[in-house]
Parts: sequence; structure tokens; C-alpha cells
Amino acid sequence: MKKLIVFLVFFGCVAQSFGQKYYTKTGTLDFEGSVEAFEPVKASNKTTTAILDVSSGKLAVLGLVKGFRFRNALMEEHFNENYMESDKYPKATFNGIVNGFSITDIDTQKEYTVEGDLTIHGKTKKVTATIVIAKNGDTIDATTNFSVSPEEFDIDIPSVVSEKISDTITITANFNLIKR
Amino acid sequence: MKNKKILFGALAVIILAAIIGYNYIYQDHRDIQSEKPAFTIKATDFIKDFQENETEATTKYLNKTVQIEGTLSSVDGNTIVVENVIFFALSENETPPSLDQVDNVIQVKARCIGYDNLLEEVKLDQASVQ
Repeated sequence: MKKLIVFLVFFGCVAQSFGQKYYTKTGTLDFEGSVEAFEPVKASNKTTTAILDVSSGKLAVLGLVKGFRFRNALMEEHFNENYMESDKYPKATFNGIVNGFSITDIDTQKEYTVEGDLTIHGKTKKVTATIVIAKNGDTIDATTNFSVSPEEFDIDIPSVVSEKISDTITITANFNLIKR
Repeated sequence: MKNKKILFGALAVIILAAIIGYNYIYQDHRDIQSEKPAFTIKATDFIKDFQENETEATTKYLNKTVQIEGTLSSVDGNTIVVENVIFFALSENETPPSLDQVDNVIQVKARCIGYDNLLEEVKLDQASVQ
């Protein structure tokens, strides 16, 4: 009997520390690199996976590059074939941690910094960004945005089109996470 | 008279070039729904390919139109899951299957966008239930 109690207590602790994950499969990643007076360069990925471990604050994000949809089909083709080379690098990922995260602090929306490794086009860079997190009933909403430049990830923009694409690309992420 | 002919000729060429150019730049997106599937496959075999060798399966299926037959596991808004591990984002004009279709075998045509190693799922978009 004692053993059983010890086991249950132990199991309960383990389940608490490891089981507290919130996730989504339909997170949104928007990127925009438009230049005024030219056709907007923007796309949206609505099938992004994100997992937040609420006990440690670890955040993992995975966006499949082919899942970015443009209004212009030719732009989408160039994005995949010439710039992101999505056949070779089908994934864009982020692995990091929300500093000082605690699930008890987010009943009202709270701002944190998130830092970690961003991998795009097979190249990994450290990034830090502000992330706003709020608990809404059973879901946790997280929103962040940050800027990157194509060069940082070894993405060559030919000079013919470089004036139509901004040097800094803004990425906005929006996740409605539910308990796993 | 001759000059006029040349002028009209040149004008016709310019207009034609403009039309071709416009149609190239503003070409339509692929229509997955009307495409003939590159692969018609059972859901269990499809997922096995990814579990056995992700890189090889990605090369084989990425960006291809695939028709998959399997058991509907769940419906959530505009997305469905087949055989627990194949995720489909339905195309915009598609009505999601009703919840009483869950556990039934369905056929789905969609475009493969890759493997999600966080949740160990294959993801497809622009899906339509056949």
C-alpha cells in the first residue's frame, strides 16, 4: 500500500512536470517584405505547429515552407524554388525558451522575451523577440513579431528584383495553443 | 501604306507580348482539386514511408498531389486528421465532413507540404474529400 502511494505521488509529480504542454497545428506565420509602390511581397502559413511546455517555458515552432501561400502564384513559385529552396530545406523551425515564463502569471496578458535558434534555409541564427502571452480559458494565446534579413540566412536576392523586396522581412507569429 | 502595315504589325506584336507577359506574371495557382494525383495510396502505407525514411519520403511526395484512403480520426474547423497522424488543411471552398463521418474510411486528395517531426504528422493542404 505504501509502495502504491509512493508510486502514485511519484507518477503524479512526473506527469505534472512533463505533461504540461500546450500546442497548435494551425498556428499562423505571416511574413512581409513589401516595398512601397511595388506589388506586396507577403505570404501566410496557416498550418504552423507550435508547442509550449508551460513548466519550463520551452517553445518549439515548425513551419513547412511549402505551406506559405502567396496571392501571386509566380511569386510563390519563386519563393519556393529560387529563394527558400524548399525542396532542399522544407522546414523553418524555432527552438527556444520564454524567459521567466509561468502559467500562473498569464491570466492577464503578459509580455516576455523569447530567445532561441531560428533555422531558415538550412541556416541557424540566434534570435530574441518580445512575445505576448495570455491565457483565455482553456487556450493560451501567444503573439510575437521580429525582423530578419534574407542575407542572414544565405538567401540571395538577385539585383533585378532586390529593389522590389525589402531588406528586412517582418515575421509575425500567432498561436492559439490548447492543452495536449 | 507600307509604313502603316509595319506600324500595325509592331503594335500587334507589342500587344501579344503584353498579354503573354501579363498571363505569365499573374498566372493562376495550381488547382489541386482538378489535378490527377501523382500517387494514390493507403494512409497506413503513406505514413509508413515517412516513419521509415523521412528524407526519402519527403523527396518522393513533397509538393505532389496525393490521393489518400484512410480512416477519418477527427474534424476540427477547416482541418481533418486521417489515421491519427495525417493532417489535412481543407481547401477554402471545401465543406468539412460531418462529425458522424469519424471512423469511416474516406478518400482525400491534397498537396503534401512535408513532415512535422514535432507532432510526428504528415501535413497536406488544399485538401478535398472525394
